[in-house]
Amino acid sequence: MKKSRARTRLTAAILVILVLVAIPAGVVAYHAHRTGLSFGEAVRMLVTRAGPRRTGLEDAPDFSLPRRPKIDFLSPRPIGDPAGRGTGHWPLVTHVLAVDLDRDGLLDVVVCDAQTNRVSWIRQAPRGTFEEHPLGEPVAAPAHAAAADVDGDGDLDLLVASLGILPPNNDRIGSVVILENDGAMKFTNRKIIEKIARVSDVEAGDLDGDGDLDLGVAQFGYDDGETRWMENQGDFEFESHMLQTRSGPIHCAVVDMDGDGDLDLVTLVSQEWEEIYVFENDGRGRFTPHLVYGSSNEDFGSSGITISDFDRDGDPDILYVNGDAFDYIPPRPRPWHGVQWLRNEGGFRFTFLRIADYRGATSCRPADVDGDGDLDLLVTSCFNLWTDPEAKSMIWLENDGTMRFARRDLASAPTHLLALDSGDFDGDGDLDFVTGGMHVFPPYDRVARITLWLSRWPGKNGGKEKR
Amino acid sequence: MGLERNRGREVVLDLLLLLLFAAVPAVAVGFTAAPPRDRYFHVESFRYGKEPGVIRVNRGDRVHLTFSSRDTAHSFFLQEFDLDAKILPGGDEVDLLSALHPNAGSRRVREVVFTADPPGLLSPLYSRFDYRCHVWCGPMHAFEQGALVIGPNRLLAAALGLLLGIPTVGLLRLRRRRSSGLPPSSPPGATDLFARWPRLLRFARRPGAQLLLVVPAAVLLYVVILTTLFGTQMSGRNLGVMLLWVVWLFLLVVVFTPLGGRVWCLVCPLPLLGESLQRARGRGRPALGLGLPWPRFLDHAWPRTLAFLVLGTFTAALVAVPRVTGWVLAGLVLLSAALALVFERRAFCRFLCPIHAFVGLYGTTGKLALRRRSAEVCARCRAKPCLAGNSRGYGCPYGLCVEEIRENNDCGLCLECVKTCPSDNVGLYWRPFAAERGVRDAGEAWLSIVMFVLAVAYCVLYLGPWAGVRDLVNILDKGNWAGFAAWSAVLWTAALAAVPALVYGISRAGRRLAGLEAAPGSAFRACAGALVPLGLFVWIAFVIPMLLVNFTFVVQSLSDPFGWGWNLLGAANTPWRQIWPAGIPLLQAAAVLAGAALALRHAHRAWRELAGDDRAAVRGAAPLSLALLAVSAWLLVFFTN
Repeated sequence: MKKSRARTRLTAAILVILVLVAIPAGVVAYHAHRTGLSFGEAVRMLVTRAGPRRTGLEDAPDFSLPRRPKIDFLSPRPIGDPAGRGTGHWPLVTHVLAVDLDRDGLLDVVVCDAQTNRVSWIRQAPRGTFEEHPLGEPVAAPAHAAAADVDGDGDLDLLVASLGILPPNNDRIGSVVILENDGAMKFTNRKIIEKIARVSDVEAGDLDGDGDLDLGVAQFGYDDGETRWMENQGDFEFESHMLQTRSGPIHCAVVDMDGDGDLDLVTLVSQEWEEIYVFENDGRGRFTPHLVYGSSNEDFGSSGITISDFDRDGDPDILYVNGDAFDYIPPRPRPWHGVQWLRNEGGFRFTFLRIADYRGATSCRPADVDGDGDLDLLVTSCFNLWTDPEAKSMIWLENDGTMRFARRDLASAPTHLLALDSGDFDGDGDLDFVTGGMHVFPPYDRVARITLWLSRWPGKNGGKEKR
Repeated sequence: MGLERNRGREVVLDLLLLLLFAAVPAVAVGFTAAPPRDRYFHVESFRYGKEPGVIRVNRGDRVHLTFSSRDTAHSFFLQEFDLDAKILPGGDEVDLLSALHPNAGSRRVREVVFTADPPGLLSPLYSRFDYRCHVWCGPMHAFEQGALVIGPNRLLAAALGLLLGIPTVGLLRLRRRRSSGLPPSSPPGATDLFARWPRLLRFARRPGAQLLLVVPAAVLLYVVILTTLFGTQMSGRNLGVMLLWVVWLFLLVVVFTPLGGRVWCLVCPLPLLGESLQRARGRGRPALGLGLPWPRFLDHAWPRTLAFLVLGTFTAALVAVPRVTGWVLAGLVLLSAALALVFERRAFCRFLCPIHAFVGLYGTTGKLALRRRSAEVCARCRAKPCLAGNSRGYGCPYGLCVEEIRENNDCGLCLECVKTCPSDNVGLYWRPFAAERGVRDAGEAWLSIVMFVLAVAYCVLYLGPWAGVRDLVNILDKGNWAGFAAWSAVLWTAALAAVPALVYGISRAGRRLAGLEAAPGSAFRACAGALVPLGLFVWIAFVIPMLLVNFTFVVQSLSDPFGWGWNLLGAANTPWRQIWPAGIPLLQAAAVLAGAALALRHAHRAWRELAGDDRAAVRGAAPLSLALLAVSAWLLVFFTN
């Protein structure tokens, strides 16, 4: 009798322990499976997330870099419609793309404007003259545009990510729109998918190795977001393949991260996740997720990634800015906002390297600004403390050639520079820049919609400038 | 038979009279309707409210709304009129979506125009429509709301008419009984469920019967703790928060307690760990642990009253920050276990559990009750195995002997006595609602007042249009600790001193009117006891919108329990849709009226016991009845207007 009772109790105790362990173990295993983490990594991530909000940067060295004197080498010039054709409202530019859309040898600018709900083309013709033309029909809150010959007819079409509306919203109002170019620069809207979580980015690349262009799609959503790739079936038909259901994907870059000859996807997932994933492609459109970075700070404010071989060692690195402050009252920058570099170590391992603190950092572009043969970084801010007239909306981080950086200020006006791209607009051989302002909150004292920043590096023709 | 027919006729007449009381003002107020015209309002949204908090228009008016945001992105979500305007700071235009078909796209407008003519069959009775925010804007986002009130408010008029009709009908019934010489109607007999369903009795006698019920609840509790600690800290997307503060709270208040009394205690997993440790040695053997008796100076309702008040003071943090909920639950489990190893029986449940504070008090209205079947059988029983336990079951964890159970306050329905009773003398009764009345001592009287005050305070705080009041408790993103201290001081003073003093004053006035010189304590308890049914129904009115408004989020979080982007059931992306939002004020008004009717009945019966006759009882209960009517009238105005 006693033995039987003891056996019963032992069984019950084992069962209880099994339940206590099995539920969290099952949860972690499922989550690890979904994210491509090992079981241990998933545990570590979840436990860290349960801790206090930290950036992981509070105890790190000060990244307020040595400031060097400003060099006035950029000449700003507004281009395009001043504040959105006919609306009279503050500009809400979500993206600018430097591209020779009409292939006339002169770089143009494609603009996504959530104020006018338009994708427009600021055509440069002749050199130095810019005129804005709306493209196709309106697109609801366009967030991003990419140029690619999707239909293989030899001209550049535009892939447009449509949020549906700019304000936070969890409804399925997003869409992917292709503005099909008829070759005569007349664009026709082709909505290839709609009624999905708000789409923030779409990029093209041959993801399944069949020779046509497929799409990588980031859907920010709000509480519910998604990441998917869309397989090109021809004739503007695409089949969706879901990669992840997680809120907040901002960017989805299509790039060969592991050098195996096929294109992988790199996504930045913001909201409370603050993570960067690489979806490894097996060449046939089957993807394995790798979580390559995750902040323990739910307020890290991820705002953008740019893929570049920053250290020029032959593999692509991830340049990563965090400076989103849209959810504060009023939107205010945070001390942990800044710029970082995820150095590619191979095998989907990346080393996180903080480069600089910069409040409200939103976009960055690598460029050899000073012509010394290494890549510097140009960074803009949308969420700096604009009540301070000295707050900088654009800086550059000068590389000394050993990947050590110094900060040089560029501009305090215009403010709210969400969008940035680079290209040689004036054909002088160096990179110029184009920015877009998203003036979604006050102050409105330094407003500009699209600004072209032409580079006139001092002493360019006679060697280095005097510093 | 003739007596029954008379009573039936009386009931029909009473109902017709009540209908008249409701219909006359509802129709009359219709004559005050102003002709439709254009009305213009600017709505400013902010964390966490709308200005104006109340928009009053007339039926048929063309309402023109413009919007702005004081801080971050918000929305103006008015489901009944199919509006969801997304508002950004700095702009004077909004993106307008359909609330019912949000995926259909948006259009940008400067002004939203609609006709104040609510749709639906019950349209004439729909008068209040809450507008909410449908953009997560911070931890207290769920409480950002205001009210569109469309006049003439027939619902309010009908409800106030009914409120007057209830005591009128009550007095008429009293008068009829006096003139006809009929005895006061007594509740019909209760049904012994064990006798009706022997299978239920067989189940209750099984050794692991309660465990079978508790284990699933314990697993759920574990899931709640895991999701609240490790899941998203956005409350609306966290399964733990949704299960606990939406589903469980609704079930506890609206279903378990009114129907089952303390039936929640039967499945409650909080004491499972401690009791399992206590019982590790098996039945009929001394419990593990020190087994100390609970200190006599703490042997009353006050510890759990204060525990509830403390938790109740911090509700904003509990609901808005999932992690706080997780730690509190884990803490309650550990506290219960620790006390089980120090004190005898379920010390935590009996004296400290905040849930006991609620179900112990309001469970007295419950239809389910465990009682002895025969007093003689109990009197003959010397061993009292129901208290001490035997080889078939454990002694009562609540320290009760079945023959002493008169009320639902203390018995947690664990059913151990059903196993241990050698004479099969324990019955489980299904009885009329609110059959018990009164409170037994001063501690319970205070508990009744505290619970009532908290119910009203929660309604004001979380359902009202006053953002300033909500700011007082915002120690989360606004860190308003000074306001919180002021709010806490007012709440505690009201619950522990001001309202009890008022109730005492009312009881004193009643004694004077009834000509009762003695028994001040009894009169105070009679008055406090009348608050029990009204309090329960105010709680019901409070939790109704919790479920109906947030049900979509329950479904979403079931599909994505931790908010990690899962979609287990394919429902994680379900668009928000409230269940019958226009009907919420109707249900709340009905709850208040039911509570008021029962409270008035309790008041009269309690005073009849004190005063001895109906006339004196009516006089004695008059101040209390007036106070109950005044409070109920204010509640009706609050919920419907």
